[in-house]
Amino acid sequence: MGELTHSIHSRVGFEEGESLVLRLKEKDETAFTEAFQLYKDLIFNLSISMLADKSEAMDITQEVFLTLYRKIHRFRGECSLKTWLYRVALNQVSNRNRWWRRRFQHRTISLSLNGTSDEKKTVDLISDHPQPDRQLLSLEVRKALREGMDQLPFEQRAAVTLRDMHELSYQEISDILGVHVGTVKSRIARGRNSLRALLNPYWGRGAV
Amino acid sequence: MTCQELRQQIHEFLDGELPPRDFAACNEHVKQCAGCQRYQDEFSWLKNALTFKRLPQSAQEMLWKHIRLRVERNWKTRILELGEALRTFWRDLDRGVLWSKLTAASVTLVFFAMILTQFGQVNLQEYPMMATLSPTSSPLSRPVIAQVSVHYQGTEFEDLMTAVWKIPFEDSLSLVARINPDGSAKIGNVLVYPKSPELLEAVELTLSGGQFQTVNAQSLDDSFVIYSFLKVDVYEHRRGL
Repeated sequence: MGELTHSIHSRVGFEEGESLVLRLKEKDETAFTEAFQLYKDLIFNLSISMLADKSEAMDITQEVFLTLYRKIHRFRGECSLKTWLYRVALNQVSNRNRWWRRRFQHRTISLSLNGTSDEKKTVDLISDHPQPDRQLLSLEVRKALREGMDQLPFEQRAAVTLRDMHELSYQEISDILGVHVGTVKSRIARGRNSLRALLNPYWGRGAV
Repeated sequence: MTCQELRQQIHEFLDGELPPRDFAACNEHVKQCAGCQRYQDEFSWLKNALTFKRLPQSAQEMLWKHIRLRVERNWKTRILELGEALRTFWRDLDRGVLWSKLTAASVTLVFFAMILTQFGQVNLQEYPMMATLSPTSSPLSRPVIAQVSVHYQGTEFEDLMTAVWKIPFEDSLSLVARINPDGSAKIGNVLVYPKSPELLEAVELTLSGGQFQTVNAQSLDDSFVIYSFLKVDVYEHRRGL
């Protein structure tokens, strides 16, 4: 996990700067391609973690990059481009999430839990990299963890995702979410505690 | 450091967000306490289980193609986008809410249309005194006959009734009354509050007191006349009501 995200973050840190933003503002095609290559995984991962639906995540990623292309002139440089993109993505995800809740709240349907027939469509938040410890995870635990993430309140899910998957610091998460660092801490703690409580039956059974 | 203290700081400890001294204290405690070691392991497992998932290569190419298409806009792509937007809008439309809002809007429209239709039938030019009446009043103020005037003169009772209902002053007392040549009045109908028999009687006494005869001398020959009293001092004649 670490290698991938660290490599992405270091590349982002290296590439991201005023020059890229300036080139984007000048509608430089290569800059746009670079930005896509740099941030596509971050945005896709954030979207898929928050919505747990691949096609929705693809839509969000597309919208975020279109926003980047069309509205980069609104970027005032008060934060990093990455933070700005995270914010755009979270706004889009939040809107989509709200729409889903409003429309399907009475059906108690989850984006990721559409039953066994849709099992293939659902997203595995657990890494698919062939690491030995991952392979030991039972399907049951994977499902429980996926359900647990899906059941977390939006704010907690966002904080846990940004910390544990994207490995951002509390300060960076605070900048993205626009909340105090203390709030980030408490959201992460609550989110993880809920997940841990949900996985209580599996601790010590060897599945975990 | 106690177990409770460690558990309070476990997330910052795992995330490396603790100051070096606190981090070292936590580390030391975890090494010595099996329970806290297990507690830490559970959260560590959780942190590691939630890992980064990349955009698949095939999806990436498709996504880039879609973005390029939408970025390089011409009239064809604009039409396609519009179609897509309409399709999405229709797909996302909450029909239940839509129907309820449409129903509410149509009922409101009909309601206002009815009111406007009614207002359209009132010819305020026929009520010149309306402008002179004071529209403000207070329930605490003592009622007196402020002004008496003919609002409407007609021969058809239905016309009179229609006109009476449209006198838009909340404190007015509208009567359909027969005025006799000697100046006495026979109240045919009281259309606006008050309607209690005692008050009607008091009103009749007021009318028969001849206070308005001079005002309405020209209308004495009419069969029915509607009089509107802004405030009628019925208490002058019937104390204790």
